[in-house]
Amino acid sequence: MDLRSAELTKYAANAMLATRISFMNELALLAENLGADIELVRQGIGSDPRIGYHFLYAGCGYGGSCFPKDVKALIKTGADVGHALHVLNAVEDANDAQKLVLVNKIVAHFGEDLSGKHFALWGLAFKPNTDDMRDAPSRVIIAELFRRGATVTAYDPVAMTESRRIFGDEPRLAYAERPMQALDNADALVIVTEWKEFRSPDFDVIKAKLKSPLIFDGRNIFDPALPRQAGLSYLSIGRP
Amino acid sequence: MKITVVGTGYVGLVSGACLAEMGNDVLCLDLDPEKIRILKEGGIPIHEPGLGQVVARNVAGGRLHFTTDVQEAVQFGTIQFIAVGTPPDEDGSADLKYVLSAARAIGRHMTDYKVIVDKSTVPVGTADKVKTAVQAELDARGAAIPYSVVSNPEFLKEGAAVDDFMRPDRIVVGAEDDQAIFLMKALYAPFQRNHENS
Repeated sequence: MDLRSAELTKYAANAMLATRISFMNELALLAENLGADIELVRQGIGSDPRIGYHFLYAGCGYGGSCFPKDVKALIKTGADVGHALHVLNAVEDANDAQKLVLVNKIVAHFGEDLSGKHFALWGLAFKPNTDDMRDAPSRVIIAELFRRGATVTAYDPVAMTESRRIFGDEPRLAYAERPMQALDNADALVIVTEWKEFRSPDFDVIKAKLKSPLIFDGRNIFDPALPRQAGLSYLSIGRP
Repeated sequence: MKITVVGTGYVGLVSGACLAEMGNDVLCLDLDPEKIRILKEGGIPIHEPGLGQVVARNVAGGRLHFTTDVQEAVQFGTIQFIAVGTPPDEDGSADLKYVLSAARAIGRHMTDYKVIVDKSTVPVGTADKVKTAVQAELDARGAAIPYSVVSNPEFLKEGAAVDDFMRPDRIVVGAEDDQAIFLMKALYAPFQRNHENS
């Protein structure tokens, strides 16, 4: 193809994927209001070959080195030639809001002031299998928890070195060697990245360790029945 | 084929290692001596499943090399991949300073035909800016050396980058002349033995 088409193809691909994520995130919030389950809706629409299953996962926002940067850059490219990209502006706004959805749920439970509260946070990388934390939702969530007076102990299989580089010697942020160690003295567990090693934990241990038996899951990694059977409250994205 | 890759971030290092894996002779350039030191010692400066093994295998095989020497890097490859970062500028647009700096370095040091490939994610119209930058350097030293500029955006996913590069869903190449198209097709043919669309 020609040069300009090739250049635009890259942005179009990432913008399309980001759009799918923001679309599902907005529908997840709607599903919560309506008493519907976004995971069932996802399967229902993904089975249509015109839609497909990829990139339909509701969560706590997209991050990384590509989607946020490329969506912004394409909006700017449009503005430079006097062409407003309404859809992509909305995609970006929805994603900024989505990064705070977990904190909103935490505030709904504990109140606006989180002084003295301590949270275990599983996952720092913007997605599994990378140590990349550029524009990661974890950064927004941690900053907002700090702003409200809380402290955090985080665990990530590979991104803790990167996190130490980013946050420096931040006294409100500690790190755990193992996922379960992060739960010591924590008021609740917050799941931000869907690493495989988080998917089948011993819920009885989680319940025993947490001060309040409460999981905020930003990636919908559990069948809600499992933590609930163990006596945990389980709040995820777009599910009853 | 002899290939130079400018930049050893996700895109540059994965591209360089995987092109070497297909038997190409690859030289990766980075101006960060610490990164190059790590790579020369067999490590990789990023976390990416499987990448360490591909790098180690091809360094051991003598097909993958690293340098901080710009002149050596430009003179090495017929195909010059620009895979440097394009961080967001204050207004959200992609900052092209590293891309254009690489283009000027190629124009300054090239002594024979080069295919200059934009692998970084760059805004529409960047290929024209790269051409202008290369041509300005050639004009400045009164050199008339042929070259082609190609856009070849990379679609790899972090966390699955090696698999994505070795078995891509599609390879997008924007090019304007037959020689560049011929070389790019030859370069990527081994990666898409199942299908080709133009």
